[in-house]
Amino acid sequence: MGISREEKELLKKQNEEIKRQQQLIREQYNKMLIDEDNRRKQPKLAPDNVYISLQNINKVYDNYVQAVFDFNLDIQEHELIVFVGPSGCGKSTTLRMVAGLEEITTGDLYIDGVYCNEKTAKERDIAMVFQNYALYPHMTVYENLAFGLQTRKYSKEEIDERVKRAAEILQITEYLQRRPKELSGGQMQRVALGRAIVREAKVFLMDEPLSNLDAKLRVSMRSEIINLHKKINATTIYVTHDQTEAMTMASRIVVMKKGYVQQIGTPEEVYAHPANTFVATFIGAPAMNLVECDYNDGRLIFENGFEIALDKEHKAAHDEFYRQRIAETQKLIDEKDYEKPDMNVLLTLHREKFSLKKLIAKIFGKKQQPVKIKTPQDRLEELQALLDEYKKCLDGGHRVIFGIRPEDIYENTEIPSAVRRSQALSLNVSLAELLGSEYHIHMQLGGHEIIAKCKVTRHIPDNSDFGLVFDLNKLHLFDTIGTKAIL
Amino acid sequence: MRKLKRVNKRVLIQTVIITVIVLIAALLCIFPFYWMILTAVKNHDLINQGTVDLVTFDLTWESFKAVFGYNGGLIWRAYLNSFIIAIVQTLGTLFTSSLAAFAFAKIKFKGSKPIYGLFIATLMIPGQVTMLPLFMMFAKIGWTNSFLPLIVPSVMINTYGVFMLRSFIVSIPSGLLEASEVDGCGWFRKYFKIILPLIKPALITLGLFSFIGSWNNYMGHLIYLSDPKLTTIPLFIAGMKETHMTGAAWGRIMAASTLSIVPIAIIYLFCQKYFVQGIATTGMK
Repeated sequence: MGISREEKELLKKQNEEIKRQQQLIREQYNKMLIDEDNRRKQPKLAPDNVYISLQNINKVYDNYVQAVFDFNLDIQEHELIVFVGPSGCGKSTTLRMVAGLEEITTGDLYIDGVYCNEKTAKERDIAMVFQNYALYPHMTVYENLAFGLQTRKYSKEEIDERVKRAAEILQITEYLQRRPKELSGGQMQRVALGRAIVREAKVFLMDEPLSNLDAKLRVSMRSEIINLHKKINATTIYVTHDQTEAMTMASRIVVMKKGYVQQIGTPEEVYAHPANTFVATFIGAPAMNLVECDYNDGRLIFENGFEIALDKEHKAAHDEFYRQRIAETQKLIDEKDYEKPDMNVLLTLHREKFSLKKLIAKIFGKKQQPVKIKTPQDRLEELQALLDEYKKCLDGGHRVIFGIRPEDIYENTEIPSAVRRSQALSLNVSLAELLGSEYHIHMQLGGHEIIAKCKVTRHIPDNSDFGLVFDLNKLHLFDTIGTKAIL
Repeated sequence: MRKLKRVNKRVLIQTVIITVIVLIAALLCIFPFYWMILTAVKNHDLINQGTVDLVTFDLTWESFKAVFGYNGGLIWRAYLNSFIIAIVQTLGTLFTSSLAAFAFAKIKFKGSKPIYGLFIATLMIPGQVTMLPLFMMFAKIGWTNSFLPLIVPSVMINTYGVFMLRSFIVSIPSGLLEASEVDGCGWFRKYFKIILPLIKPALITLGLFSFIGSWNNYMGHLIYLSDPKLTTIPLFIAGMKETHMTGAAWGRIMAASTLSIVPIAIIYLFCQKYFVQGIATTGMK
């Protein structure tokens, strides 16, 4: 049963490496703490011309899980900002940090020129609509609406006036004396909105307010919220996982994934110029078609032999993209960025000063998972490898991801004049879904499924051949290394 | 048609069996009360006959008159004292228990779990163990012969109450508290405006337990209250049994016992509808 000598050696080496890394982490961590302390001591100057400002916001939970990474956003007054992303992407957490319901681990938050990190939810003068409505079950609708005003010591007449006005806007006047349990989902939603309206707060925060409603009601409430925003014009942050809601409501969209901001832009920007493959597939339905193919000197070559010739500007953009990447990476190497501490690892250590669980684990000799940290040497090597990759991409043929939206694929015979057509391509239809006014045609291109959206002019049977062209004005190219958009 | 009848028959038999079982259980519960009340209104001679007689009805109010006349109407004093102790203790317990339960259920602070564990562990210490030390302590600070030793400890700590209310408060969605925070509530406003109204059924149940516990607390009252002015209902009933030469005066004891359950029965009737009620949390989805 004994362990062989080699294994012992190996184990010893591993332990030494872990110890070395932990020492490294500790040093860097202490340095970070001092830096953070110094930073917090400095006088806080709110940025000009910005209503809400989130600067380098990070959130780490007590269980050392980091939910939000380096969130930066400036919001103008009267904007309706939508945070969108799949569940668990940190959008609700960010919203709750703005609300004051979650503590901000590092970073600064300003609302209306005031540093708000250390203010409670009560002091921030915000109104919030919760996903589950969170109406007080023991109060009538009227009392629910009035509660926030009563706690803020408004006069009875003022409260009455505001409640009645809000009830009128939301058409819930006849339910004012009912209790929440006597209301339907849509009515409860209105009351929840009303509770925010009566406050006339600086900022409205909405956390997936429509996700508990059925599809039809959701659409009508959506337009009601848009109208409401036009009427009240309060600065609003709206969280949703539904890209349609984001597209229809937002003045600007923040797309998030796994705690990182992917792209910030107007709906048009995000739709027409997605920053990476995630945004490209997340925004728009059906999702953008992505097909991996070869790039060689201005030509895209697909696995089935189909070719697309890019024009000069596209080629120039491609070269420019890789030149920029090379310059960026070179700059990181030159500036010795790899010697800076790895903030992500350090932040998760933020609260790891003492925990009973750890103590117990130590006493009972349970194996602890060492925190993995890359040494500066590791990171330098990584950066250099990346640089080489990019250089290769600039010089010769390499893989890229070709992207085209289903609505930018046209049937060979029905091409509007504005379209700059590619060569024609004939593919086998694996499935043609009829959606009333349009077809969603599923086909295979180079081992990837692609979907084309076409007007119904005739019956399209499964397994038939379908001739199509791509609109070259609308094509997208993505880098395979970082999945960032080239075009 | 035939099949239906057979099914009906089976259901009928089941119903009959269940009804009989429930009836027996109910009779077992009612019987002591029946015996008590019957004895209270029986003729003295019949009580002391030596045999148990449950069906002869030779009724008289003699026993009740004796109870009310005992020691110049001492029973009113006993009622008053019992009420004072029970009500103060109950209200105090409800307040402190719900406050502690709220903290343990909804406020995050370091070590809340271990502290709660320790707190609950005190449930395992039998009351008899602490009886003597407590008495000595209260004797030292001169609290014997007052209501304080009966009220203060149970107001200061009611482990069972905290335990019970905490489990109720935990089930109140945190979203409600967050909403109230956004609406401008601090901790105390949250407690008074949100938590307390929502746990009303639990408070009423706990209040009743506490009231009954205090009302029937013979041992505690016997230990701490020796002044006749401070007598309470349990002590009063115990006092009834001492008569000269004639043995236990069962009629009087039973009459006093009957009178002692009257307030509890009334309270119980009023609170009954709350016992089965859960926490109303609609308004959340």
